[in-house]
Amino acid sequence: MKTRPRHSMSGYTHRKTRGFVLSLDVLLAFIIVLTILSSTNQMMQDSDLTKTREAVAMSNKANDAMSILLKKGTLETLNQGMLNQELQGIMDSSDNWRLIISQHQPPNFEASFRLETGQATTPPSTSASATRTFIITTNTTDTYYTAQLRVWKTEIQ
Amino acid sequence: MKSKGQALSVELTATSLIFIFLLSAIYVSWNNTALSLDERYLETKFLSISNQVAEQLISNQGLPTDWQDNPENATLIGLNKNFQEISREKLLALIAFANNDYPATKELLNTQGFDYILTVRRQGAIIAQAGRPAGHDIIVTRRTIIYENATATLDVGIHSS
Repeated sequence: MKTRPRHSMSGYTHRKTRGFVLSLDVLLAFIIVLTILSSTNQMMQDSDLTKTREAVAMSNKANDAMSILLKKGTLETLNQGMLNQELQGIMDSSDNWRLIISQHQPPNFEASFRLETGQATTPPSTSASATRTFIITTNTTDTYYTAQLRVWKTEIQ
Repeated sequence: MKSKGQALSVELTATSLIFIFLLSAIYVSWNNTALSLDERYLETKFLSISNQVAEQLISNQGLPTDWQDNPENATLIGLNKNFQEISREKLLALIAFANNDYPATKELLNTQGFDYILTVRRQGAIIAQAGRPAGHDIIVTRRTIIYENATATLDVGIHSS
């Protein structure tokens, strides 16, 4: 007569419980990893959106400021004090800016004069810029100028 | 025999609980992701609309160019008076038009059905406002303009009330 192998009830339960606890651990680890990945991804996307909004705002500000300087004739004065005053009225306290005006004399149009004002530090690559060209005519001479304004926010560490 | 059955039913209950917990976690996570995607999509859309409306107002005089005399016949609203300068008459006409027929101004500003609020500020103080105030979730585009011979800012806010 064939007899079935006997297992103690405690042995059976122990093995099952061990497997059960292991699978619970794996499940818990899986949920934790998923949660961390999901929240990291969400934070990165939020940060990207904030950066896009900031970049658009800075670009608008740089272009509007240059248009106002041209409209008011402040660029043509080439007066650092007047340019600073006008730009300070346009920028917020959290804005950094740097304006560079170069003169281009015909016939080779090489830059022969530079006026630099604003922040002395080099603008970061994330700064927004706006460029305008204008001509100052004296008697019969046309002198060409290029003005570039770069605007950026101070990065919060 | 009785103990084995008991162990099985404890396992079944625990497994069911875990299954329900996991299902709920997936459901909540899915809902959050969908909600977050919706919010992000809406924010991007609002940003794009507010930029377009601001550009339209600053760069265009409107159609016809003297639309402020008869706003009901306007086909496009613009506030431009001169290069980067906005017209006081046109701004006042827009404020009055928005008070009388807000949906028509929404249509003419092409806000794609969303609500808007325009604010002109000088040195931080509000000097003119048109449109509907936002309840929550507003995206604002700020432009620097010349208004009445002085530097001012025009804020175009887009929201869904």
